[in-house]
This record gives sequence, C-alpha cells and structure tokens, in this order.
Amino acid sequence: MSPLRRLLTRPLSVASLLMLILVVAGGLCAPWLAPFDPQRMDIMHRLLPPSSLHWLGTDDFGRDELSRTLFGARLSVLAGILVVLVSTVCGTVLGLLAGSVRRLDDLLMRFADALMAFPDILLAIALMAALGPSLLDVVLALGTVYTPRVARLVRGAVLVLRRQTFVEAAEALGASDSRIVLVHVLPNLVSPLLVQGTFVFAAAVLTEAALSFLGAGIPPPTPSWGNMIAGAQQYIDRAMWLIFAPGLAILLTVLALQILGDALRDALDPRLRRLT
Amino acid sequence: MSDADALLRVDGLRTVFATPEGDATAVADVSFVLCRGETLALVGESGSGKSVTALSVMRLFESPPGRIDSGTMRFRERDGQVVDLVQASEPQMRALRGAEIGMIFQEPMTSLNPLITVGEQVAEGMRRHAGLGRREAAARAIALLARVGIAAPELRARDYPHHLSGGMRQRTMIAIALACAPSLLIADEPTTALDVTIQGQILELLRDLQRELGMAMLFITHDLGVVAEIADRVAVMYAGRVVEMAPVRNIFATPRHPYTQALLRSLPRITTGIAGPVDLVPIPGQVPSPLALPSGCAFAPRCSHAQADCREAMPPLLDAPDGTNVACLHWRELAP
Repeated sequence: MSPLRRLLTRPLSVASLLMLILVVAGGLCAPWLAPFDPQRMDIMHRLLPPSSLHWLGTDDFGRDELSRTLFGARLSVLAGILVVLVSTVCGTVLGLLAGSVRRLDDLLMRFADALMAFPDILLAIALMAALGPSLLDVVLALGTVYTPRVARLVRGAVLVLRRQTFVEAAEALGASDSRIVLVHVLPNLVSPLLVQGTFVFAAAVLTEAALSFLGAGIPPPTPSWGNMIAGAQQYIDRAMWLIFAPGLAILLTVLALQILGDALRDALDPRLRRLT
Repeated sequence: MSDADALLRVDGLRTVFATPEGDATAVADVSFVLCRGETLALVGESGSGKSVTALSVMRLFESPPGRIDSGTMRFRERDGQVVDLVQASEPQMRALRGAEIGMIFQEPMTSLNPLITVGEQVAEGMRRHAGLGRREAAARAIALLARVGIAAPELRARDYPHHLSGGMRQRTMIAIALACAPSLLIADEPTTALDVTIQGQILELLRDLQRELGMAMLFITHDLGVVAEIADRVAVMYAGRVVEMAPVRNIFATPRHPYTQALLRSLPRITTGIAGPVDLVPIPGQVPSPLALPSGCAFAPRCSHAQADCREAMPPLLDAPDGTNVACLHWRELAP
C-alpha cells in the first residue's frame, strides 16, 4: 500500500486533511468569500451578536468577525508556509553541513543548542523587538526559532544514513562526498522532513498567534487570529462570542496539523511499509 | 611466487582506532601477498581484525578515529604501475574504488539505496569510471544483471531494492562490484546473511566470475565451510594478527597453530555425528580486548599448550612445511 493510501484509510487523518483544506481554501478565497471588507469599521454596529447579516457578529469597531477570521486564515497559512520553507531550507543546509563536516558539527550544534534553550515564544519576541512588526519579520523571526529543530533532525538523520551500508557501498564504488550527500543522503531525508515540516507548521501558526496576541506580531488593523483574540479579550464580559471564532480556528488548525503530522510519520515509516 | 604476479602486497599493516581509553590496535603487523586470479580467505572470529584489514585496503574506515599507523599496501594498477594504497591521496583512492578494486558487503538488505532503481545502481559505477553514457550504461547493466543470474533483467532493472529477495540483492551487489571488471574483489562475508542454498549459489557465481575475469579475491569470512569451498589460501587471524597462513588443503588437513586446531575442533562434522557422540570442543576464555593485548602471544591465555616463553614475546610467522607459515614458537611439538 502506498503511504498516501495508508494515510487516507484513517478517519481521523482524513478529517484533519479536510480541516486543513478548509482553512487553506478559506484563506486563499477570503477576498471572494468574505461578506464584508475586514477592515471596514461601523461604530453604530459594534459588538453585535451573531445574526443572519453578521454570522459571527461584529467586533469592537463594528467589523465583521467572519470576514476577519477568513482573512486571518490567509495570514496564518501564509506565515506558516513561509516559516516552514525558511526553516526547512536553512535547517537542511545547516544539518547536512553539521552531519557531514566534522569540524563544523560542534560549532553548529552548540549554536543550535543555545537557540533551542530559549522558549519559542521568548526568542520570537526578542527577535521581533529587534526586527519590527510585519509579516516578513514574523517569518524571519519564526524561521530562526524553528531552524535549529530542523537542523538537529537532519544532522541526526545524516549521521544515521552515513553509517548505512549503502552509503559505504557507494564509497566503495568511488563516489565523492558531495555525490553521496546529494544522491544517497538527501533523498532519504524527504520523509522525515515532510513530517517535521507539518509540526513546524503547527508550531508556527500557534506562535504567530501568540506573538500577535501579545502585540509583538502582526499589528492591527490587519486581521490575524492572534490580534483578534487580543482585541476580543477586553470585551469578554459583553461579547464573549468574539473569542470563539479565532480561538477555534487556531485550535482546529493546529490540532489538524498535529494529527496529520503523526499520521504522516506512521504512513511514511518504512518498517510499516513492509508489513502492509 | 614472482613479483610480476603479485597484485596486492601488504606489508606490516597496522591499523589503530583512537578511543577515549587509548589506541585500540585492530590490525597489527599483517602481511600477505595476493596474486592475480587467486583467492585469499581471511578467517577469524568477530574482532579478529579481518574486516578492518579489508576496509584498510579500501581505506574506507572512518578516520578519525581510525588510522593506518604503519605498513605498505602495494597495489599493481591495470596499467602496470604500482601504487602504495597507504600513501595514495583520497582522489586517487576514489578513482581506484569501484574501478580496480570492487567490494561487496555482508548485508544485502541494506547495501542498496532504497530510493534508486536496481538498474541505475548497477550503471552508476560504469558511468563514473568507464565514462559510459546513460543508455549504454543501462544496457550494460541489464547484461550484467543477466550474467549474475537474475531472471528477466530488463524488468528487474526498473525495480527498487525492496522488490528483490536477499539472494537477488546480493547478486545485484555483485553486479555493481564487478561492473568495471576490477582486478581485485574484496568480499566481506558476502554469504553470511543468506540461507544455505543461496549461499552455495552465490559462491559458485563468484567462482565462475573470478575465472572469467581473472580477478583476485580477498574473501573475509568466519565460516570455515565457505573457506573450504572458495579459497586457494587461508590466513587465520586472531586479535589483529595473522597466526597461520597456508594453502587451503593444509588448513584442514594439517593445521599447525593451536588456535586453528581449536577452531577446527569446535566445528561439528557430519562424520563424527554418525560414527559416535559429537565431540565439540569449545575454546575456553575470550578474545582479548584490543586495548589490553597480552604481551607475547595473544592466544597464550586460552592455549592449552602455552608455555612460559609464549608469554614473553610475540612469536613471528615461522616457516613450516608445505608453504605454511605459523606464528607459534612450539608448532613443531604439536601434532597437526
């Protein structure tokens, strides 16, 4: 059975996949799906409860909550994908270097240890303070936070792969170091990277929301799930429904990514591949 | 044996591995000559240094911690030039590996890259060393797969390694190693991971190919049954040293070194089982640690014939009758 088919035999992973498709599609099509301009204020109709006109109600500036949630998805997904790309590319390059060049190994890994010693959110806030608030800065900051994780994974996998007999056999055939890394090591890293990428995606969505909630991420008025919750918390006594849309969006997206990551890891495990 | 026939002449090879507890000597003062078309079997138990000897010839051990401390390994290249593999540069070694020195490994299940088709893996060496184009190499790969006894080679060439059985994978490994018709093939326990029927087929294939290509073989094994089938000469290794070197007949008929004798006594024989109770004699004790080799003969602590002088100095390889060399001071007193 192919890994994809094995993935699709599980109801939970199918549900997660559907959830993600929903989030991505909602984000991509936000300009067409959203019933209102997410930034159009209407002070007369602020803090309205859900109704047939405003399905999820309006916030403290009278902006349509559904439209803002959809545009927030756009931002979260974009930030997540970009963070995954940045950290996977940088992490893979650094991990390959650390795993293959002995002299660089200690230097790179101690640096990675130092970065990983900080809690994600603390390091991200510090970097955001240095960089400034915009989507690009969020991606750079979170990319820096998650690069060491990928680098560490890749380094470990490289060390394991280099001890595999087929790498030794390639050396016995006179293959050069660069050829061994590119032809024999890198392609074998694809499945662990795919799994790790899913988890980084989930972590990035969560940390981006936390940054925006704390005011260190995407600044208002651009809607992001994090700053929507931040705005909603002041009115929690009067308009409690406002925290649900962005809150549930974060919860379900991150949960779906986590479940999918676990399912991918199982589906791509070559030991299981042989059994089924 | 004239010098012109010698393909590989190893002299005083010493390979050590740096460990936190000090240098571990894996191969100590090993010397042997390998001629064209000849098979030399390196025999010994785990940790005797036979695999490290083979990897030293390929210079494929990890370095550091491993290093060749001293010795020479003079290899005669196809164009007649003699190169010392100890001194050769890494690019020089890369050009030799796969082209003039082939190697097959013990584990056919993990020796092939799981993500590359069998045909491409066989073609890889030919493209690198013989400079063949993609098409030509692919055609030659199919011919080679057919030669090593793989049925429907055109189809198998497009398969991935996990489609193949262990025996077929080992045949593929042999095809890869022989793609550039090397003059020396190093086989590191190539049959250990296979079942007995497949073992016999693989050994037969190796023998046929050796005759066809006239290549020399350095065959590493711990299986004396395999030795009897394939070797011309045998080097018995113990604790990193060659303790006995003899034509294959003599190893079984007139073993000289007490270790060789003990090794043979620890083997079951079909005849003993029929004639009377099986009389297997295990060798007491353990192989000494390469970090703490005893002074004198390394086998002395386990040897039932050991005497005081055995523990004083390492016995050199002494000449015995019939082209046998034995590293035992008292070999004359021992009945073969």
